[in-house]
Amino acid sequence: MDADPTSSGAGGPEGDSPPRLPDEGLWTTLEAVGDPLAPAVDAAVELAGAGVPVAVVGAPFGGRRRVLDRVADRLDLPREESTFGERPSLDGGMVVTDAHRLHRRSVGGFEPLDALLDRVGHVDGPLVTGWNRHAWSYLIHAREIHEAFEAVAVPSVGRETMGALVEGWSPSVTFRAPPETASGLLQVDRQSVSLPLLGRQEVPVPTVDLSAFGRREAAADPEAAVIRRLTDIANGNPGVARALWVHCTAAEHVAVDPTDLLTPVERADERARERERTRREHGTEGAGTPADADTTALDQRAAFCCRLVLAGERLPRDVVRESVADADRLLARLERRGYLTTTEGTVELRPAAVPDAVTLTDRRRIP
Amino acid sequence: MTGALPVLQSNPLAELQIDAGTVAQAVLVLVAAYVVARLVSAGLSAVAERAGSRRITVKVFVPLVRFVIYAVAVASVVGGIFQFGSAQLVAVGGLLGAALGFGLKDLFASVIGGLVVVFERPYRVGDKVTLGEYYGEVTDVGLRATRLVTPDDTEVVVPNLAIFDGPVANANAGAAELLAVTEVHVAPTADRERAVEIVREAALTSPYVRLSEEHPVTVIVEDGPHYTTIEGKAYVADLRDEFPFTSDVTRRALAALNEAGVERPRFAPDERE
Repeated sequence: MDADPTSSGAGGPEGDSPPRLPDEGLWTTLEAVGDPLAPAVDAAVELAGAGVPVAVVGAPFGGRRRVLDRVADRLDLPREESTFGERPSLDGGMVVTDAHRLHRRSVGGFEPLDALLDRVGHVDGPLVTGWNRHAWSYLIHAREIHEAFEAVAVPSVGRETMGALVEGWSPSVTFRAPPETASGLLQVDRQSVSLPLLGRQEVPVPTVDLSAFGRREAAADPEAAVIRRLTDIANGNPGVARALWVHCTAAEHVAVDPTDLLTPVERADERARERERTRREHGTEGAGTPADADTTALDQRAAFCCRLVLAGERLPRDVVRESVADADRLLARLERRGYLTTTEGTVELRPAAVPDAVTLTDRRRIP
Repeated sequence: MTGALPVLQSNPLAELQIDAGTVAQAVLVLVAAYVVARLVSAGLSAVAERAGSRRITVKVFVPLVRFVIYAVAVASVVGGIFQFGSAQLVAVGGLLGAALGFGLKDLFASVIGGLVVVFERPYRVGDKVTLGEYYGEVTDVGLRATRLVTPDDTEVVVPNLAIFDGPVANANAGAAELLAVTEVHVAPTADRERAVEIVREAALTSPYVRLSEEHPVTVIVEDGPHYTTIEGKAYVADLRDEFPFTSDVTRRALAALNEAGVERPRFAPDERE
């Protein structure tokens, strides 16, 4: 799933997606700037060569597929793509990509995975499997999968590597300080609270905006600030960083500042807040639909739905329907908020929204 | 010199300078304390509701802060406005003692119970507890009483002296997680292994389950003469999800048992969906 992290950008909420840009060699660029994936490849090759079943575990779009491809090339192994609900063939040594698809979160949905676990020790040749990190952490508790494989983690990249990647992606881009309109440390927000005798009222609430410190630093060294923010948002995931970069630096951006780097979910929230402000100014609060700015308004089932997509990356709509009631409505909500894209039969995680999906589901401690 | 020494008797309360202005000031301070306490409680509750899994940690401060505000208000009234000296305090203490003897002892015991709840913390705001015959989520710990909301959304006000009268069962003890138990029943002759696996998978795949090394899913089998009980125990990430979880697991487990042809008992207790 990490071959082309920019390809899921289209079709986002309210048509804000950038034009699809071909990912010309994200991974070859990465290999040219220090090859941070090499230790994972070497470890997997060594373990698999010694006859140990290997699990290559990585974040969505973080280079897992690339590691598996390189391992398959080095060991001259065939690749098998896993499919939801189908048992793996395991005819001799092989590389099984997206092995997390061997389970579905439903009663009876673990059967293909259990079949794999039963046969892991009897495969005639090296066995290397690829797993989404979030699915892997769930399966550790649900199926003790770590007992069957030796795990190799796909590493994240540091700021230095990220800087080199950005230079490779956009050699002519320039960096600038954030606009002065960004206000200071103390902000005043309006919040609705319930007051004794007065009922629900909107009151001004002073809030501290810690990002003001970052803005001061950004004014001093805009390039470092942009790279730092990109690395922090993407959590060092090169595929997510690439998608964010493409999403945020669409053609008209010749100069970039840290405030340009917003995930699709942050953009959707910003638009919702703007709508709320407009309604307040026109005195039409409550007349329309909820503005959707508040991610806490996404309930447990919506967050669970998001976790399914985060852990599956790209999955048939039926698989989601099987795991959660009212899946179509929940998926539509998540799509409107920028987490994923849907087609008639498929649901796909938006690479640039991975950080938000992780935050949403981790905050609710969904396994 | 035939007379006895006169016995000096004085009323310490009579020395107090209390006029309408002083009383008005005292009332004003108490009203202000009430309003501030309500505002702070509302603010902290709003923050808590947005704090996700740290909701209960934040809510712990609600009764504490309110207690401090009321304590400061009472101290200002007693020491600052009425300017009670030690003699007056002893006199007021005596009056209070008399009042307790004449029937305010339950109120006093509840207030002491409130202090015990605030400082010893047998339960906190946000916990799920059984107090007396009531089970529910603690929504407020006041000085006199604790408010619970039961699963059928009824608010119950339990005087704090209840903690002296009987045991207090706290299902989560300040944690956001809670162990939820769901039961289904199969015939004594049914394929138990299959039934156990179905209940386990129903719990593992629930949207509400919390899974970690400290929070595993366990399934217990209990034999009975007329049916076998399969009890699934798992933690929910948020204690408010206890009933959605048990309902979800029971519903899906029953459907899967039927689909798998696992024999169900002819007579069994109700299974809550």
